Amino acid sequence: MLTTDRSESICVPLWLIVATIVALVIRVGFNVWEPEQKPLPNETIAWQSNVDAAAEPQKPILYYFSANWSQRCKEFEKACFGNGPLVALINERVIPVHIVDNSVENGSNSPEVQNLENKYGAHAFPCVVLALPDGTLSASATGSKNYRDLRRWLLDELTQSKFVAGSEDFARGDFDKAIKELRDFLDEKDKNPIQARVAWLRYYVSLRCLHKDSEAKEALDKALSHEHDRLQCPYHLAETVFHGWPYPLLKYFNGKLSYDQLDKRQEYDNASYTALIDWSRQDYKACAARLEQALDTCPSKSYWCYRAARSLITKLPPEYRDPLQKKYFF
Amino acid sequence: MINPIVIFYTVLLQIRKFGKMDIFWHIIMLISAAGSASLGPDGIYGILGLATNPAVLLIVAMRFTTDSYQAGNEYYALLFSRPIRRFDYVLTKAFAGWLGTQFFVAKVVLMLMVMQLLFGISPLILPGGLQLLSVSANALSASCLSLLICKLPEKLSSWALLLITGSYLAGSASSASLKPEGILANVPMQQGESLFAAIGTVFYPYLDLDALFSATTFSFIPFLNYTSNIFIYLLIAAWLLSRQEFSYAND
Repeated sequence: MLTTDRSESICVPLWLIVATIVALVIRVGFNVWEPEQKPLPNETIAWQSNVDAAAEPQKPILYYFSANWSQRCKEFEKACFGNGPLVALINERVIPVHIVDNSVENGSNSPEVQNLENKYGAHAFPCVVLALPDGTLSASATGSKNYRDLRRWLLDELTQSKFVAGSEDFARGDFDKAIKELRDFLDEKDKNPIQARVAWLRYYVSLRCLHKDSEAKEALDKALSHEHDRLQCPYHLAETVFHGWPYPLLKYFNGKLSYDQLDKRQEYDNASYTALIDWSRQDYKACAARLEQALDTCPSKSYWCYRAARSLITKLPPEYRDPLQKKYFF
Repeated sequence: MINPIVIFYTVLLQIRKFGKMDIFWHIIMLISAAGSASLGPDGIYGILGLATNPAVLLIVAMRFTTDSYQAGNEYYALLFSRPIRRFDYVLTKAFAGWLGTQFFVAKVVLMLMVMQLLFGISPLILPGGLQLLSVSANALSASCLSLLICKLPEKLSSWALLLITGSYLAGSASSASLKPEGILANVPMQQGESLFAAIGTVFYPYLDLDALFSATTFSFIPFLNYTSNIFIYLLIAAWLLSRQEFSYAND
């Protein structure tokens, strides 16, 4: 007959109690001691200022937008910027630029930070943006990731960042060469969707400048079929497409592309959109009035038109800029 | 220490109770695997991430450690009519939960592999060795935690499960912090994020061995958090079980 002592059967083993206490003591000790011995994850990346990044035109720029209050950013930095292979990849292949959003702490960001946030659509944190050496948005990703996901994303996007050469000819106004290079890029498979849209738009503008209107119409249809939320805002779109461009062409492009779409938009959308066109025509007085209208009627600060209007104000001459800044932002 | 009879009963009951709902869930898993494979690498990584999410592992482990699921009090009576130490029972249940949870992840990986072959995705996307080891470690942690939750009084047990899985799911529902402006200006998002992170760290720290071993500076803290939590879960579960009385249902 099987017999067993009941107290022995139900008791909790002594070794488990001792092991639990020892493990807890070591855990608390290490949680206090270890963080003081280790560098912060952010210190492993060779961060550069935005000005330094602009001075080194060979490499793409990796912008990392963060906020000090965001727990997600801390998780992201711990998971990604403390990882050896990823840190080596970032330091070697891109120019890392860390942009800290201080709008919660200080009430507003510096104009430089705010412009970058508006330009790349960084309104949630953490946000990483890969920009081509000329500042053109190439890809962006918002939200915390583990190092595997970020590494995969970065490698994918770096292999797709190919149309830098075409943009140089485009910026010089050498449209024949630009068309050839852009066409080669557009014929490739597995293109980055943001770059594809920008490339189609540049292709369209190049064709219009060469008076090939029938081909240009087709290119414009293609460009507009490549929708991307980061390029919905006309201000971001214009800035991305026309970065470093001769001024009259910007005026020409906006005049042709934008008015058809105005009816479908809200009043504040229209005002902000039209302000951009006024600005491109150097009609700053009308532009300021439009911006005022947009900012007065826009229901939320998070709307693109509000952000675009705010960003556009900084580009006005001082006599128009200062009163608006004083009224709306300071 | 680990009792083969308890493992046998646990596995046997799982097989015996395999019903229409299980068939339904397996069909859903198969459709999800096919859908993710048709989406390409992003879809496959998404499903792999979901299957190895700590909250999902915890819910899967619950199935193997919940006693109410397994024939109620008669199950205990049947087991404790034999000379089994209660701590051995706790340890064995944790082991069975660990096996079962790993089996679930293995099923998902296998389905994804078959679907990738069917959809002609090459090279195959499969988790690496350290990732699989992490899943195994996290399955053990999930199993021990689910065992502790099962041993808590009924009402407390439901709240604990809701709190832990809820904090994980809420934490992983949005991976970004929105700027507190506009309608979000008065929402205490920072405090909410910190609370979810603290609940996760204190109650259910999970290991990512791949990340830990490739970090620029090695840290012992995740391993210590993990080990001490497992000891705590087992200790409390064994203590709670030692305070319960069981009897034959037909006595």
